[in-house]
Amino acid sequence: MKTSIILLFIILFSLIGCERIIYDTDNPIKGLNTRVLMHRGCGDNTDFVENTISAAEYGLTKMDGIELDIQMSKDGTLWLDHDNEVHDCDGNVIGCFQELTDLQITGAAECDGVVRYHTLESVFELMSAKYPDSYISLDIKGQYCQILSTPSVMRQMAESVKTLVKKYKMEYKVLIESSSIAFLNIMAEQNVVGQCVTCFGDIDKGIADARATDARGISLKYGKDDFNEEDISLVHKKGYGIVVWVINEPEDIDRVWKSRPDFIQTDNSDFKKYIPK
Amino acid sequence: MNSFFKMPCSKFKYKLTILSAFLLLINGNITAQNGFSFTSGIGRYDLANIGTQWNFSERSSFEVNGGTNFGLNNKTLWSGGFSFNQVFLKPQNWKIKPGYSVGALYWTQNDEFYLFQSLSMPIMALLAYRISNTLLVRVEGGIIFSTVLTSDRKQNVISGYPDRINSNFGIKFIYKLKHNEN
Repeated sequence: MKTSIILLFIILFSLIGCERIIYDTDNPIKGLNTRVLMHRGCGDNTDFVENTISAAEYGLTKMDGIELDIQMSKDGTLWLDHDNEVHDCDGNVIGCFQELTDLQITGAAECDGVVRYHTLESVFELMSAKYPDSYISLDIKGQYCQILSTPSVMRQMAESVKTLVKKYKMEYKVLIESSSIAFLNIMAEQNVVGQCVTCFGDIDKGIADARATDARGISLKYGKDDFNEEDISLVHKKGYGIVVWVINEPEDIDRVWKSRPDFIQTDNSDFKKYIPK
Repeated sequence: MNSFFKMPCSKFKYKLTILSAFLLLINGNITAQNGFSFTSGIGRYDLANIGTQWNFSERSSFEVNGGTNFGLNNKTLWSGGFSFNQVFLKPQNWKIKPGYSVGALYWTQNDEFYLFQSLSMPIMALLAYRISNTLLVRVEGGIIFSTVLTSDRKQNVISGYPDRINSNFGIKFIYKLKHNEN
């Protein structure tokens, strides 16, 4: 008995150095020439309601593409909006997107002649017809109204995105930003959409999450104090693309542009004036 | 009158709830006063560790310990944590008693690439064997969930991150400091 314990002790002593850290292997990619996407379609232009078809068209005329926020209805249709809740014209919540049918959402969409809710399909139709070379990033919002069913809802959203991409031949023009493992696992099964895992400053966690979900890139929230230009080259070295959001101030534009991320999101309609020569 | 009988604030209710849960967990005769034990052992996450254990009863104990890897393998690891351990005394004729251990562990890893500070929660099954009246050996195995509190990358060549779910194992010797009179 004592011999067994001593032997076990020796084995365990040798194992206390067992690695707890997973290190990423190098898989360098060159990275794309930096493209600029207008955040929520229209950025800070208050002439448009954000996440609408008119906002999208404005952004597509100004930048290399747009970013839009995505929800899903009870019918499985992908809609554009930042919040999970659908509001009536007085601002009252009438329900969450995933609880309402397309008919109910359409019924609440128009206020004072302005249509506030549009489908993603309408944007894909527009881009396919008039802006075939532009890019679109879809910020997949967590469907938190029904927490228990969220993984199945996220999987359904992923399948809906894939269907629309195929229908409008938007291959290699669509990015996805999501923190849902269920969503990213479905997107890992294809290679025509660039799915990115959302990262709020800790780039090492972002790389680890990208590895864990087989994502193609990282969607990094910009923080003036946290941002390190060399992080971009590290991300590329490990084989991932990177989207940085949201860059608005001229000094930030200069700083981030020089680090060469693949995509930058901005609210600033005059972004391109501040790109360093 | 209703407001007179209401709990004055949520903080008091919170403390009362924690105290009740603590008493429920003990689940033994706390007046038995089995006393303190000294612990030492080795574990994957506990490292080479020493600590102290308060024995609520023959079954249940609460341990606090700290460990290190002595700087082996070109990295410096420190750990500090606590655990609640419970052994099932039946069947009485079994010499090796099964049980479980749950707790929390704070650990740091410092090497040329990174400084990580993490918090982990081990959930372990254990087997306890009494060698003598004062000495017990406990072998533990299970899983450990980890989350990073802070990370500081010291270079831009290597990237890594702590494994969020991992296996954990260890062996511990528990020496009872005060003889159990009950």
